[in-house]
Amino acid sequence: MVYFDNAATTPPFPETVDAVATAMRDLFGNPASPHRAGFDAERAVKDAKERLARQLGVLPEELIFTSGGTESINTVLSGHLAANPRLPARIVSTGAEHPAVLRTLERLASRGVETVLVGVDRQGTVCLDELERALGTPTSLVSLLHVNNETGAVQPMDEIASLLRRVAPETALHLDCVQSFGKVPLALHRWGVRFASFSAHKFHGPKGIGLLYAAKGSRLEPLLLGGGQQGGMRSGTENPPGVLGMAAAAGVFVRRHDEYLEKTAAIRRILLDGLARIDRVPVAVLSPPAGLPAILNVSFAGVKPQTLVNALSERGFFVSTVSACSAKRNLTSHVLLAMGIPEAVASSALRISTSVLNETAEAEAFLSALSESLALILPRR
Amino acid sequence: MPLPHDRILLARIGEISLKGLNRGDFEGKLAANLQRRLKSLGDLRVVRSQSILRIEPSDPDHFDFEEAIRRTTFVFGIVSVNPARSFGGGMPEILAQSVDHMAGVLADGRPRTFKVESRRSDKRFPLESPAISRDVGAALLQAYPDQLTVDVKHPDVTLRVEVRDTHLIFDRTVRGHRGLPVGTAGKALLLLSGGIDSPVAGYMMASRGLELECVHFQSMPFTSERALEKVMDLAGKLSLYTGRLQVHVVPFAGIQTMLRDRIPEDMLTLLTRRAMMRVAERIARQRGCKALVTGESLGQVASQTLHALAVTDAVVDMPVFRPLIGLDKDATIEVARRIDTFETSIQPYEDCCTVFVAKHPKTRPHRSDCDALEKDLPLAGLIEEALLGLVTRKVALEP
Repeated sequence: MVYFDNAATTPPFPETVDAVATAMRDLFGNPASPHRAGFDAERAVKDAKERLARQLGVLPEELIFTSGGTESINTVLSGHLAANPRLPARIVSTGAEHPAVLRTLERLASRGVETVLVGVDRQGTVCLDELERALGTPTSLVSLLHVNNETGAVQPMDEIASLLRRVAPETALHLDCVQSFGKVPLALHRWGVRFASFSAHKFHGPKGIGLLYAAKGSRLEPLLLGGGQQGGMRSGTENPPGVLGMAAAAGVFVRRHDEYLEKTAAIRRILLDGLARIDRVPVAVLSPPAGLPAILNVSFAGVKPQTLVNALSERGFFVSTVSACSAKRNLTSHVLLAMGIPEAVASSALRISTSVLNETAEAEAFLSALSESLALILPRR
Repeated sequence: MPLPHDRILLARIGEISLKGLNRGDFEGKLAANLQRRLKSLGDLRVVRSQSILRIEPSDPDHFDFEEAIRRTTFVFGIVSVNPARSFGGGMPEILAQSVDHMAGVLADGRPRTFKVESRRSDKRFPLESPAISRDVGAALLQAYPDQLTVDVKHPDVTLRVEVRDTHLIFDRTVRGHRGLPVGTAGKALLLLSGGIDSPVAGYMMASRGLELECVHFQSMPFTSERALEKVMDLAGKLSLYTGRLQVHVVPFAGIQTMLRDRIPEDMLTLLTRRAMMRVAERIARQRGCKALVTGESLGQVASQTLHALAVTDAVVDMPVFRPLIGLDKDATIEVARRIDTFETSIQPYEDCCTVFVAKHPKTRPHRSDCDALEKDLPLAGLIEEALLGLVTRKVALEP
């Protein structure tokens, strides 16, 4: 089995599994309970939060545990204006965001919030002049996807940060870091990031746990009400197995960072070489050259990507059509369309995404499975 | 305290009560089908009584009547279901039970219009039907003067009284899916694709008493594993009417790609259909099925013209039932919605019929052209291979 769909989710590290299992067995107490079992769980969660905070260079009190990226994003987009009603009811984002952002903005728009989606260029980079124009009108929040989950496009955060400082110093910045944590440099303070969203299962942690960073002094209306856990910001019994699994995964991921960069870059080179040799069908690499090496979006002209995914899957190679979130609905990627890629090309796109757990030999094997699959799929006349 | 009585369901039998000498077999099959579908709800008896089946739970206080009603309406052969009270005695008991029953109907305190309809199956009973209705109506008006008024044209409540050896009172009728009991008309093989039509065709033929098995042609990698799962979901929905279904999954990509590579594009769909029919007939014979069932409708697509259907039928030697042949798509969709297969059918996964589609397929093919094209193809060998790869899955959404 060769798993090349790491942008959808990553396999857990053994350390993650151990941490989750240990927490389930030994820390089953409710962290809010007034006895030892509760206190032990609370202390373990607190300790994990401190480790995560150190890795992000933030304060523990600035982190909120959530169920994942979608919840963190929803909390920021919906909760920021709700908690700050005097701010301008206007949010700026891009057309190449994750659906968690786009769908939430649609709902806010239907409730009277002005939402502006600026364009991205052919590389998937946000158009800075468009962004500058959009910020000419007072805006409460800018939400940007740091690393695009479909193409690997990385936003030029230094430039964006200085643009924001120059034209909209009052506007809060939310950075969707779901695909970027541990993969590209993250400078939350330097970039003036007010809010950031994270999801553990994208860095070999468990599913169902994520983080929301909310800079000290910022105000958000909570999405979930109840027992007032996490300072009232996120009610619901805390999830020690998830939290400890996430912290363990983050620790290993950061420790293996150099290995990650080397491996994913080497695999990308092998894949690009191999793709260039395919002559049965025109191949177009849609990911930007400067993007995250681990995500490679490729279009095989005239081939239904789901057929290719099926053929590869039968051979034990797992890749994806667009993102897992829209793959089940057979939609052409809105991200590729936003980049100005013609529909015919975008609708044949396949996403190959790798991780530190992949090996270069797998890339070679993948290439032969790919050409075998194409031979099966394409007519022999 | 309510008066002592038995709480039962009455399942009314439709056209099978007309089946003359076979009637015993039909009723026996229906009772058995009903018994099987209900037994997981608790211990119960299904008792035949004239053109009615009485469903009598052993422990009515812990019996889910609503679920039992739902399941009963799904059993072909049942026209309607009434939750009823059953009791013995004479006219005083009938009056008292009627008043007691109405207390439940009127429990919310709102006023209602009503009428009483009576039937006297026991002709020895001293009063005739109109007199029974009149006396019961009078007793109810006397008992609930503030809540009840008579309206014989459009009453809110129609209380029905049936005078038999044990009497029945009920006010609620739930319609069933009618038809004939599954298994009384023999067995057929349904070609189940994953689209809107074939589950409806299966439903319609099962409602005529056919027991069904299904064949599905799978075209991995041109169709996905989720497409197969969707077919299983559809079979599951269908199994609510037919009982447990077997789905024979045939790997079909080998035949399809061979045809794609060797046949003119405009004949591709047709020859693919012919290959499917051949495989289906083989499976049908192995499984004791005496007919094939498809969801084709005349003129719906190029492979469903009269010429195309004739050419398709020419390769098999058993009846091919096409219950949708004269329905338009809207009518089919209406049934699909009613039997709750529509939402599953429209999930956007490729199925074997849409994998390779020509832009301009032949609509008036000749049998001789098909025979000539097939003459040099390795069809026989590929069909054997496909049959060897057959996997059978059993599907049942409910016990």
